Amino acid sequence: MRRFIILIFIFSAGLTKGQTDFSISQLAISDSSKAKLGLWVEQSFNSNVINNTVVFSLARKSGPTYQSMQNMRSRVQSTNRGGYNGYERIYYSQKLKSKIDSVNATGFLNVFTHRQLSTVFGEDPLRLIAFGNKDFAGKNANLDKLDLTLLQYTTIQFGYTVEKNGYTLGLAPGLVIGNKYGSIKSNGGYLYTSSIGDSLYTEVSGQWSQSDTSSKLIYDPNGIGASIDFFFSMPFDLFKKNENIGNITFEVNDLGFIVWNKNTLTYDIEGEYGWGGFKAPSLFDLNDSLIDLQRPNDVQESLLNFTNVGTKNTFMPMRISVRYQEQLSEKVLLIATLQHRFMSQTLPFLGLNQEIRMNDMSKKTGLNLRFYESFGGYNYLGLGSGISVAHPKFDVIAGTRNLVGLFNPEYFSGINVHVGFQWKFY
Amino acid sequence: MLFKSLKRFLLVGCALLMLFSCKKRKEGWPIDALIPMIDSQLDLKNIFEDDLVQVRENDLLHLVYENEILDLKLADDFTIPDTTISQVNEGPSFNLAWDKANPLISDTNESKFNITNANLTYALIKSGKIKFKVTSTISEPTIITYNMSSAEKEGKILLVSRNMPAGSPGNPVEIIDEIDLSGFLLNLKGKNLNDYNTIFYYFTVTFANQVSPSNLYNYTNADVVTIENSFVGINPEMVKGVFNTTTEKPDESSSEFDAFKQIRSGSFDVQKAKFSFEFENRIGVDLQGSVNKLTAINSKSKKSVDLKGDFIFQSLNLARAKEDYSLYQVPIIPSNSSYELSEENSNITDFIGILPNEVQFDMDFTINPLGNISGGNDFLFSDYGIKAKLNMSIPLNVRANDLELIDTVDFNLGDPDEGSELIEGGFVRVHAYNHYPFRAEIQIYTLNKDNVIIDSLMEVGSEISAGIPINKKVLEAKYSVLSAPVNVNKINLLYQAERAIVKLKFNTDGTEYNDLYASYNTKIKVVGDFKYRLIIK
Repeated sequence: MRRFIILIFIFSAGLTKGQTDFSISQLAISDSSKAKLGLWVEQSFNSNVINNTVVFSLARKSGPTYQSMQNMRSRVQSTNRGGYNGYERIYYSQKLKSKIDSVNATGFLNVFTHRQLSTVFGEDPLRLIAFGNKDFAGKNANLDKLDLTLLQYTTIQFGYTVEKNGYTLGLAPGLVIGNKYGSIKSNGGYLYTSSIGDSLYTEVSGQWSQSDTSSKLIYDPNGIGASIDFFFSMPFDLFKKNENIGNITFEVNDLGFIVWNKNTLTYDIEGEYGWGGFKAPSLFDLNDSLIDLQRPNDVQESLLNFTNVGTKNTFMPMRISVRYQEQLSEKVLLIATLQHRFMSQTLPFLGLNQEIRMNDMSKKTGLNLRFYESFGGYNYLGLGSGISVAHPKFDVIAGTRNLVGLFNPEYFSGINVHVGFQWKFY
Repeated sequence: MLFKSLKRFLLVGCALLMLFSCKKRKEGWPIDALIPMIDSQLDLKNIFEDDLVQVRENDLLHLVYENEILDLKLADDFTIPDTTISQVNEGPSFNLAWDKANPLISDTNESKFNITNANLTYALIKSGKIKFKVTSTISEPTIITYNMSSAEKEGKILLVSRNMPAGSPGNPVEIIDEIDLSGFLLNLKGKNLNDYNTIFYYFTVTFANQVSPSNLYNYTNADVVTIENSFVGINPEMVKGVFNTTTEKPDESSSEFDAFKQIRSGSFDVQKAKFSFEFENRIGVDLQGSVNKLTAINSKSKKSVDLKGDFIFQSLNLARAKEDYSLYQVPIIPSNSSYELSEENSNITDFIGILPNEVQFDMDFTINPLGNISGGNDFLFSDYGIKAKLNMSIPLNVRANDLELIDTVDFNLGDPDEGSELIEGGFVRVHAYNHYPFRAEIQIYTLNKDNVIIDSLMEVGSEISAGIPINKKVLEAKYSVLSAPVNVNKINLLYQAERAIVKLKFNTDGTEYNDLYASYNTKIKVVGDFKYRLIIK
């Protein structure tokens, strides 16, 4: 079994590209406290091609420089991914009385918002959008690999966990409020640019959906749905076999759906359009009225085949994960998470976390340094660090999983900031 | 902030679908874009007016220009002068018991107009009037009547009656009135139809009541009726008669020649040219014309060339026009005469080679040089006279020497937020496919509102390459690409511009003359090769 898990980790590390996430197994109370109240905020962006400077510039509305965009050229691949995930979470857990002394039961309320923008581009669409059509002079830019999804939802979750002899089972159904939804999918197409650029021609096919466009505030309810999270955790020692100081957790999150309201727009994109410049019988006949007459205002009409307004059902981006945690020594804790989130244009993700206690074990408050290594998700590799404070009455955690992209934003990707705080009540 | 960032990312894919749609926001990112801007042509129609270039035999182009240099009307020489005729009708020197059944005054008046250059027999009046003033001392109401049987309109003669109240020697009564003569045809042959320039009419005074208070009127020398007739502003539409032999010299002596008006400097040499001097006579008289001098003037280059050849000082006989009232509207069949000029009988290629913008001339016309040979049937319609046209036909077998075409166009880039503000740099590329066997240097200057040049757009030396003739004909267009750099500074200057001067300079390589064919053109494709800030809608 141990070899099997190691193999999985090695295999996943070769494939994956990404980031980590919160686990509802953390909401179970396993120590002597009776209740806890916590906050968790995490913002992440990562990509295997879009560098941090470009992201920062777009966020600041200042626009990236030409050189910043050009720095991405060498990173373009046949499949290019980018994704943003943001969480704001508040939770309360209460230890519940159990008729059997050996069974620990916890009930919890977990309210969180998850917003996600994820996209996957083929090489041509990315080159076209990021660098322009000049690269494609005299040839087609194929537009057949493009998938982009925006999603934001807020979940109100009531959960219950039971633990006996180190085995824990948790279940958390939730009410989901859909806030925003948008999706663009290409079924194929191309843009042809003539060799000197004197004509453009495109054929496209795809869909474009968007939740209620009249909604302005980001938490406006535009859909309703339901979800369920559940996990199972069991003792498991990978390195110190049979000492029962480690565990492995299997977890499923966001298994559910959202029904977006009747104002949801769906565009069926199917069409072609050509443009060869303003035509005039003579160069000197090119006047304002002729230009106004030929102004390409009909692009949208030429490409949008059908527009539908009505409800739309979507599955939520379900996450499955395997989380292994073991106290390797008195001061070193190893956590490894292998996860995958569906419908997110991401690849599986492996996150490794080492927590090293910096002060003496006799101290009541533990001061820990945390180190992160990640493989996969939306990128290849992430290195980060953080701190945590463990006090009998509270826990604090803060850090980033992506330091490289912060230090060299022109050439690397990856932004992550996470902050957690929880009070414990006895 | 983050959510807005998300929203932008969501819409990234729309770029593929919306091409270059843009929204007026200052975000986005710079891309290298090739944007088709203009698909057009630059050809001879840019040098000459559209209708000047015509396709003739063998697909060869000819420059054809018709220029009316003279429109001489002679109506002023045959006008009817303002004329006033007064007549006093006094009563008898002794008292008469006048039977009121009879007109008190009945008289015929005949007057001759003072017309020097013609003996007119008819005049159709376009405008003018008779003003009359009648003063009477007759002590009973009377009726005065004009009867001008020599004036006819729509089959009716001119007949006017007015009531005149009773007057007295101490208090005479007066009537002033006028009659519009428009449309009347005046017979100017006089009462006996054997005269000319003469008008006549009858004038009668009758009693309004012939029985009350008595059927007799005591007619004395105190009864005086004075009539004053004035012909005022008589403007004939047509006159007819015998026109005297006179010589007319046009008031004007120059005419604009705008075939080359868009060419500012330089020249083009032509091997052949054909001019025809056409006269159109719409006057019913024989004419003998003479062109004493014809000079081409280029006021910009200060060059002038006098036409030389047999044509100068030659007597040109122009036959008379004919009347034909079956024609619609204007009953004139004009007489046309034409005199051909070519490089064989004149220096016409030199004449045209300076690209004149004005033609000066000295010519005169003798009317009826042989006297009255028409039997009094000379005629003149006031709106029609003698026209002289200088028609040009040049086979375009040319050689261009720094031939400059300059055109000024209004320039408005629009508001800075209409998309062009998103161009951060690059070039406007002009791709030219030229058949014409001459090269063309291009420059575009922009001017501000004070007409001061603020920038030049094209790179120095930008030149469209000449087509290469094979067996005197260019079969394949020559490709060349010209560039105009674009940067933020230039774009700012473009927004300040309100006009642009487009300057083209044509030159022919070598000394050969080259035929220009109708199949020739210069395709121009303007492409933006921009660093463009792409903003997704």
